[in-house]
Amino acid sequence: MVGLLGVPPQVLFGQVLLGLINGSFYAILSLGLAVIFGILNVINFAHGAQYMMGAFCAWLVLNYLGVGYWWALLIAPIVVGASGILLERVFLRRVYKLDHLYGLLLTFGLTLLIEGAFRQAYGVSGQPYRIPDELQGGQNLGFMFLPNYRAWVVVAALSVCIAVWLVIEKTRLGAYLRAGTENPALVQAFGINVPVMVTLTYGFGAALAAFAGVLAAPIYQVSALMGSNLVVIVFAVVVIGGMGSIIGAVITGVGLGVIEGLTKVFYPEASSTVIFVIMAIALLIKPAGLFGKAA
Amino acid sequence: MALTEALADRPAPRGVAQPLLEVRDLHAFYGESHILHGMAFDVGAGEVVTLLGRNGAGKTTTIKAMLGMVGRRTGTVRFEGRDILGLPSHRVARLGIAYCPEERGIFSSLTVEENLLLPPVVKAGGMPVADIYKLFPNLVERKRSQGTKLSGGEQQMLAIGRILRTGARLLLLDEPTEGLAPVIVEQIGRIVAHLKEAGFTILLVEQNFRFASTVADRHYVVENGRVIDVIPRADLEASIDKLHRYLGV
Amino acid sequence: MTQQKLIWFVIGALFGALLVAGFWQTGAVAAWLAPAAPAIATVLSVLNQWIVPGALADVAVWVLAVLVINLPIGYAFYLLAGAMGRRFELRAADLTAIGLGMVIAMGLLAPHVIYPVLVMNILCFALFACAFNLLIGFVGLLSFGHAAYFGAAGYVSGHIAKVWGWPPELAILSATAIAALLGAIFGGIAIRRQGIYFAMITLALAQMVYFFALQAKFTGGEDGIQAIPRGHLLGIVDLNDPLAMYYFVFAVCLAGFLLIYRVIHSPFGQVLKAIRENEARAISLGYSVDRYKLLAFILSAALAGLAGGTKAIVFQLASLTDVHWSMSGEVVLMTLLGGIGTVFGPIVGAGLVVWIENSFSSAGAWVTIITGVIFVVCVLAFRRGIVGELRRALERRMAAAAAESSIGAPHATHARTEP
Repeated sequence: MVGLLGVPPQVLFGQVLLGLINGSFYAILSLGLAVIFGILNVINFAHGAQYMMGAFCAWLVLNYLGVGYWWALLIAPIVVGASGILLERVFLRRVYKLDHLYGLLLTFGLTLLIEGAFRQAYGVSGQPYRIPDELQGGQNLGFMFLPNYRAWVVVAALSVCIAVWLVIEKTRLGAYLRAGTENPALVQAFGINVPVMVTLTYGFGAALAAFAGVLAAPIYQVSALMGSNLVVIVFAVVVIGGMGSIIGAVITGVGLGVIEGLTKVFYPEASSTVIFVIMAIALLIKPAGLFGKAA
Repeated sequence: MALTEALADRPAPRGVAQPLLEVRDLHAFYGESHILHGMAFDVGAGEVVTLLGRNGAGKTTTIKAMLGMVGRRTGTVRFEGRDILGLPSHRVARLGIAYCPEERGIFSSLTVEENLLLPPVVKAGGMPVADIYKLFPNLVERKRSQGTKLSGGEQQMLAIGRILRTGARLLLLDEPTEGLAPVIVEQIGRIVAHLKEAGFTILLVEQNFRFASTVADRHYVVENGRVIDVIPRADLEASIDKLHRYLGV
Repeated sequence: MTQQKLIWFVIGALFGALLVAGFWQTGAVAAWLAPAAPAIATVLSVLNQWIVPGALADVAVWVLAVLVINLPIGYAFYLLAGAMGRRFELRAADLTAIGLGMVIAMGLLAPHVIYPVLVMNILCFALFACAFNLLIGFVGLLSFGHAAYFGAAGYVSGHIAKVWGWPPELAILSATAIAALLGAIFGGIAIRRQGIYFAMITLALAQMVYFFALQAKFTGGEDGIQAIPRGHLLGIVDLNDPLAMYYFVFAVCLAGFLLIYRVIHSPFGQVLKAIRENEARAISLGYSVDRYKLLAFILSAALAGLAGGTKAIVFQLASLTDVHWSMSGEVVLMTLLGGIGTVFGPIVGAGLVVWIENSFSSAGAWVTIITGVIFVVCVLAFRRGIVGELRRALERRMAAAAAESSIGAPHATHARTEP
């Protein structure tokens, strides 16, 4: 199979795969951000820190308890989700009545706290995390080599996104969440304990981020700063996609990841800034976001 | 015809010694504004009682205060003999009080069916979904439509229908006929009458006293956050002029 | 009269704080507290078990100095005011003048008692914070990526001074112009959304600048631009002399600060405030709100650039830290801590944050943790900031004082100008 514009197929598809992986992470993280923003009206800057905590949790349980990857996929979201519940009850709850900017500032402060603590404890250089044995190696597809683990990451992340979408759009629980986003006072008057629902939703969002973190651990090094650089990009993704729609967040995330990957092939110097440039252009054309409702 | 079938096996209303709902000296505040100045009224089990008054008289605020949706409130609100004034909204609902808000509150991010099934069942004895669909047949074919795509009248039906499933005994209806065509108003009147026959207790908030007069056992006239007159059904004819004055019609 | 005496108490205490800060470096303060040294040492050795030693020692001594020096001086002023009677009553506008006077006096004296480089650091950040405060305090826009203008100006200023060899004042002016241009472009894009989206967009745009700085050749990547020459101001004054450099920086920052002050109290500033209070109403009154917002944004970016460009010359370095989002977060913290929407707040905030970072610089990530804690505490419990709380306390006293001096008191009740 010939390459595109003189680029050999291995390189092209390799980068597209990388783009898909990044895109999957963008999707699952912007999904979490969107869900949290919908019900809390708070931009959860700490999402990146929760992603990092998920990765660290996996690393910690492996190195101190000998607990492997598959268990970590379950444990890390639970632990980080619980910490998220604590965070919401103790801190976030107090800023709901204030200007929304304070929510961003509060989660920003919490991010500094959490990341600083991890940096102090474990330094800046990354800790390695081994790809689990079952997912080692890869398949030779002819036009490219597909590492098993990376394929798994894309499948797992997108499956989770679809599952979340199904729950929110098609189930009773999701109906409560959607209604609660629209008119929390009325939902409470029907008998639903909305504050508890809000707390659990935030915890779930944190758990989603942590899940992504565990997925990321074998690919990127587990370090205290892995979350914050990512979260700024996810902000741009969310601005482009608009926060009103879950499917929108997923499509935008994956799409931008692939575009980023392609840019790395054809115009590498711009690859780290291309998403922001797209954001600027999108804002000029459609300020409410590609899938968003007018803010 | 369909209505009576649907409501055929509802328990008959029973006489009560103590009113189902007792409100005494209810004051409510929005921030610094003192809205309710000592509201007081009773609702007996199986009755339909209205709070009549002009815009801004404090009728909706009374309902919201009972449900715990208003800031500061003092006084006594007793439901089935139990003081409920300090409770948060979801606990009030779980005691068996259902709310149909003034704006109807149909959720745009839910389908008609999802809207209908949203309020959770709080007590046994709620109306089965099939019966609700018999009561409001035009909701059936619109089941999968987005909630807010319905007409005003249909949305009102949906708003009333969804609280019938919960098993709540006391229904709070806030201006159910507002902005609706006379034909629909009549329909709602018939529904309220049948709900009363079926044993529901209804507190109705209205500006339209002609509608209220067709359904209610007793009218409380509200002005400036307090009850200024009580008019039982029997005295309605005689009090028409008074009512005209109160309501500025 | 009691209220007036209390106002003077506060002024006296602040004056005492100035004295403490002023004589800190000369070791006079430590000498003063020598008798209490053993007790201090015991307390410190207990705390040293689990927190960084050096910085805490400074903090502890400082707190003690405040208690021992400020309070008595404040009380002295309190008694003096009582003795002097009504001739020394104050109005709100006087407080602003006093504040300004203190700032200028401190600025002029500072390099002689405190390490000049530290004060210059504080001054540059104070200007940066004041520029940021213009947007959030008076227009209500949270720009979460203000480091873009601060850092980019640093690179421009450094490049022009080092590679093109231009004199420092031209380097700084060019840097300011570029920052204004960047502000115009970014502002034009960001203003299309409101509130929280605006903040996120500014953050993302600034991150773009960061990545650009990381990769571009002229910015020197991870190393930054080093050994930026200080040059000769106007060809005459050699800025390698620390005092000359200091007074130049002081003049620049004071000019910037006065410009902001004038803008806030001008008709333009009134419109900005109206937009912050109720945008819909401002639109209905016929103001082209977007244009006002953009102008304020450009002004804020330009002044941030002025601060950044000057800082590059002072420290002879332009680096990635200055365009990183953590720098954007820092300026938010400075303004929040000092007092959003106050005139002197950002200066106080900048001073505090720079001092904290300085004291804890050897403690690694503890700085980040402490910054995070301060952020959280401020957002939850201290949103008015130091100057904001001070102003509120003083305004209350003023109002009470006006009530006290009942008949024939034409002033004080109109105390609306911010100190």
